[in-house]
Amino acid sequence: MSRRVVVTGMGVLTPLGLDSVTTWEALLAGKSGVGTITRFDASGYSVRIAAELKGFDAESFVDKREVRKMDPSTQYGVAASLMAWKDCGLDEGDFDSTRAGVIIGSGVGGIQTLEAQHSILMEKGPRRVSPFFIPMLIADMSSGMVSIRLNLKGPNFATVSACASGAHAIGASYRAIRHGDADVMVAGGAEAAVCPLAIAGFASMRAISPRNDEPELASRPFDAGRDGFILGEGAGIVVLEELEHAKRRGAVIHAEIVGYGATGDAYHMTAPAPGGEGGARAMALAMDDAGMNPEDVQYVNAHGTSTPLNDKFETAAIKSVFGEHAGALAVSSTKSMTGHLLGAAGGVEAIFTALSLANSVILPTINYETPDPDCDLDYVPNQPREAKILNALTNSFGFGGHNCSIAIRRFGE
Amino acid sequence: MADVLGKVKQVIAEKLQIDADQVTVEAAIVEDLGADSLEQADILFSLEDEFGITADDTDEAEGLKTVGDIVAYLEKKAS
Repeated sequence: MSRRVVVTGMGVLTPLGLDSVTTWEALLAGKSGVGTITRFDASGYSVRIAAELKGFDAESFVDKREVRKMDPSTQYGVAASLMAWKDCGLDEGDFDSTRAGVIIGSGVGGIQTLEAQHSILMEKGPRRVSPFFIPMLIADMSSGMVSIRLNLKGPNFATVSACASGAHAIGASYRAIRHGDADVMVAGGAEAAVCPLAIAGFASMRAISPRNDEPELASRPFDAGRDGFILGEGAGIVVLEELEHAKRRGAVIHAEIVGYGATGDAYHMTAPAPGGEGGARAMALAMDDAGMNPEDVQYVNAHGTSTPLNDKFETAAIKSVFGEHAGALAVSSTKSMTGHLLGAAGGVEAIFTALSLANSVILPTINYETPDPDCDLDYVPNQPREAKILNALTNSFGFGGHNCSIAIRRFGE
Repeated sequence: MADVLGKVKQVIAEKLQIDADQVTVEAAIVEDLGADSLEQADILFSLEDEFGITADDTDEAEGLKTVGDIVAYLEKKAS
């Protein structure tokens, strides 16, 4: 009999709030986390807006000596993991530490550290480059640091698939538990890329919105006026647990992960394949893995970046997979509120999807004003909607043609 | 030089988040104060930067064990 995988812990840090409750309330209120960049002086940049994490204090999670050795992306990953761990209620003695692992992805890893240390190299020479530079830079360090803090000795690595990193981490963790490699996995993504080098790079690609005068309106997935994503930062981490393991200790179960689909576009560095062909196959595989038919799904938490191509092709992908049922689906992009957390997006959006299932509420796509003929689904415009949903998909697609879809089911139905 | 020792104490206490009183001249950075190898290097590089020293002899710097060794090294290089 197949092992079942449930979500027993959730921890988030987003531009909307520094925990899951605050973030959830802001999402229900349709708030935007986007604003003018305060982290650095962006006055000379074509894009001067981002969805920054506000008021985060790493020292409330980890002591100062350790904080200094962690890039902000790792600080976020560790902090969200500690919140998720507290939420799941696992105590020493509840589990076999050799069967508990960590997979936390990041799109770009320690880019703020890279930026700072490169400046030191140029200004002061090689002898002044920090001995902590490499361990702070590498994208797998959240997984390492979390394992040390929580003494988790099972599978441990990071996924790097750009904006799908967090989703692949959850998918791989779900597989590890289902396959029998682990009983407990800490999984998700962390990102801290609101910095000069990343803003400049994404702006050069024309990937991020230059709507500098109206930051709160800038992330507008599926709207005809969309003109790029908004760079966001934070972390979204879940604790996944084998169902019987969770039941034995009387854990609170938030939702069940029931399917995972991963595909490659084999098409272009950054542009999605025409018709969203790769994304469509990822959704079909996730539903197949879950034993679901398209009619069983009520909600899709879209990748929905607010770029012209993603939203058009994701819409086409959903229509190709769901056929006539696509018209009855609710599809929304929470990136309209959080901005795009890159490698953390899949983590926070899996949590938002789980909370939507548990609370019977579908989160809205805000800033939806003008329909685009290429985007003609029900995007749950501007207001949350009460609806009992049993099955949902959450999509994440990354530069490089990486597509990931996770199927999540309301628990106990 | 008292001001060199004072600065060394301050940097080590800050890096390792320990009380400056623990940072005695005899204290070994790793064994007594609990630094790991990366922290040891970090302390040294920060102090070199603080005192404007351009180190050319890494072997000598790597042999430094105690707070007193570091103070002597910095005083020699700075002179």
